[in-house]
Amino acid sequence: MKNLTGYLQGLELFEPLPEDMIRELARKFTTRSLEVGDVLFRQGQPSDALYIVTEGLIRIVIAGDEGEEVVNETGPGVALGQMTLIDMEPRTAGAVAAEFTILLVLSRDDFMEAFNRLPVQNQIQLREISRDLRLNYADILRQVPLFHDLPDEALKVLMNRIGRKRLERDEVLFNRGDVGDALYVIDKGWVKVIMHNAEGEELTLNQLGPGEVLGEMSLVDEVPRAAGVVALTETEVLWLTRDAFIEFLNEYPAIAQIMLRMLSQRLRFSISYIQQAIELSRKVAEGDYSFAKTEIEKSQSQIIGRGQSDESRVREMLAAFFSMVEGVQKREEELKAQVRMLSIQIDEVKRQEEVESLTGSDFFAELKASAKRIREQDDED
Amino acid sequence: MSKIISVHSFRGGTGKSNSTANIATILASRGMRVGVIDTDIQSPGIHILFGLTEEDMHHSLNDYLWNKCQIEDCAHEVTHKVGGDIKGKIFLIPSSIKPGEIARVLREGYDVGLLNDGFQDLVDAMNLDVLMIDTHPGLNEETLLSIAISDALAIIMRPDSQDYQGTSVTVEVARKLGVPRMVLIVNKVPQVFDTEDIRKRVESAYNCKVAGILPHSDEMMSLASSGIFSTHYPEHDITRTYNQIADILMS
Repeated sequence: MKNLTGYLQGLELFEPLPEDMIRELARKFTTRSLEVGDVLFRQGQPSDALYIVTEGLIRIVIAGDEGEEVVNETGPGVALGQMTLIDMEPRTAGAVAAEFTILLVLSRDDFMEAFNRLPVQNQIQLREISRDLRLNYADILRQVPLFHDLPDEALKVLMNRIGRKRLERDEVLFNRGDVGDALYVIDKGWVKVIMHNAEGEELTLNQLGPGEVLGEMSLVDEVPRAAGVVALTETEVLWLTRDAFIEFLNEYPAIAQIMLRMLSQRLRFSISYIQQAIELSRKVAEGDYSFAKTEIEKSQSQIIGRGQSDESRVREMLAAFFSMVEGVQKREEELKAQVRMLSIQIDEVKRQEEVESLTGSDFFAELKASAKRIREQDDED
Repeated sequence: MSKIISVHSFRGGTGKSNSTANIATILASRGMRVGVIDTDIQSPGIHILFGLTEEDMHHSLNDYLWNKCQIEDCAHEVTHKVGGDIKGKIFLIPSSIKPGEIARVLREGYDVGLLNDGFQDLVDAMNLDVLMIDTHPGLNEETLLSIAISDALAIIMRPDSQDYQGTSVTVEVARKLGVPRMVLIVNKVPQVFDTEDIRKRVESAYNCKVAGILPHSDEMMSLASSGIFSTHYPEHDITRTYNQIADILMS
C-alpha cells in the first residue's frame, strides 16, 4: 500500500477527519505479521483496533456446533473492524491467518485520542457514520447484483422500503418450500443454507455472511424456496418484500433494464451448463463414463465456495448427473457380466470324447443292460 | 411303488447336499417315508445338515460295504432333527466321517455291485416311498450305478462356465443309461439375473427340463450347513421352488 493516507481517505470512517489528522493517524499505524494459524482476534472480543490487510490471507471464522467454521476469506486491501471501532462492539466473527499475513494496525486508543481532539460537531458526525456503517442500507444494497447499477437517488427511495429483521441463533429465516416473497441481505452475523436428504438428515449447502444476498429471484418470480435458511449466530438481515419492490419498479421503470441485463447473464450461466450437459450426455452415450465423471467433478470443484442460489441448483444438477452416470455404468457392467455368464459354451468334440470314454467300457455296457433289466422287472411288478 | 432319485453335480460346491436334504424334508413333510443315502464316501457332508454327529453314528454305509452289517442297520432316523411339522419319516444312511475309514475306502475300494443290492434292500427293509441318493461329484462307477438304477435324476449346476461342459457330459451319459426322468436345477444364481431367461437358455443348450432356479441367497448362506432351509423359511420363495422341484421329480 503505497499511499496509506489516500487509502484511509477512502474509508467511510475517516471521511469527516481533516487531512492533517488522517496523515497523523497514518503515522500511528504499526505493522503486524501472522504465521499460518495465528489468531488475529476472536469472536466476541471487544474491538480494540482497526486492521488493514497488506499481504496474505485472513480467514473469518465463527463458532459452530462442531468447532469453528470458516465463513469468509479476505486478502490485501481490506479493512477489518471499521464498524465497531468507536463503540467497542464485540467482534461478530474471529479472524485467523490462512497464510503468512502482514497487516497494518491502528489501535483504538490512538484513534480515540485523535477523535477526542475533534470538535464536538465532528465527533457526532463520526458517531453517526459509525452507526450508519452498521446500518448502511445503501452500501449493503449495492452488494445485491440487482441493485448494483442503480442511481443513488433510486437507491434512497428503495431504502425507505427496506425492513430490518433480527434473528437469534438457530432461528429459522425461512424453510424449504415456503413461498419466496422477499429478498434478504445479511447485514450482521451468519446463516446456513440447508436441505434434508431422503433419511431426514440436515445437509448444509452453504454458509452466508455479511453482504450476501438470499432469494433475489423471488422478487421476480415468487417460487417456493429451494432450501431453508437458519441463523448460525445472532443475525441481522435487511429485507425487501416483493410487493414493495413492485411498487418501486412502478416509480423507477429504468430498473427493469438493469434487471433484464442481470437475468440474461444468469441465463448465459445456465446455458453454459446446459451445453456442458449435452456434451456429457454424448460422451455417456458413447460409453465414455470416465470422461463424463472427471468433467463433472471438475465443474463441481469450480462452483464450490460461491454463494448464489443458481449455483447451488447447478451443483444439484451436476450431482444428479454424476449419480446417473454411475448408475448407467453399474447397470451396464452387471448386464455384461450376465451375458458373459449366460453364454453357455459347450465344446461338442470334447463332449463326445468324454462321453465315449465313459460309455465305451464293459462296465458301462453291463450297467446299461442291468439297469434296463431292473426297469423292465419293475414295470412287470 | 417306491422311487429312487439321484441328485448329482459334475463339480463340487454346487449345493447338491443342501438341495437333496431340502427335497427329502419336503417329501417327508408330505407324509412319505424318505431314505437319504450319502454315497459321497470320499467327502461325506449331508449328515451335518440333518444334525447327525459322529457319536450318533452307530453304523455307516462303510460298515455295510465291508460286510459288517445289513444296510438297514445303517439307517438313522433324523425326522425329529429337521424341525417343522413332518408327517412322514426321514432315515439317513451316512458315510463314515472317521478319517481312517475314509482312507480305507479310498485305498481298498469296494464292490460297487453291493451298492445296488443295498439300495434295493433298503427300500424294502425300511418300506421307503422314496430313496434319495446324494452322489459323489464327477462320474465314477458308483455314481454311474446310482444314475443307472434311478427313476429320476436331478443334475445341479451353477450359471458358471466351469459347470457347463461337465453338465453336458452327465446329461448325455444319463440319457444313454435310459434314466426315465432327468431334470436340471440351476443353483446359486445372482439375484440380478432374469430367471426366465436362464431357464430358456439352459433348456435349449441341454435339451433338458429345468425343474427349478435357485438364487444365491444370503439367508441360505447364513444358515450354512447347520440346518434345513425349507423348515426354517417355510414361506420363502426358495422353499416354494424346492416344492416345485419335488413335484416334478415325483410325477
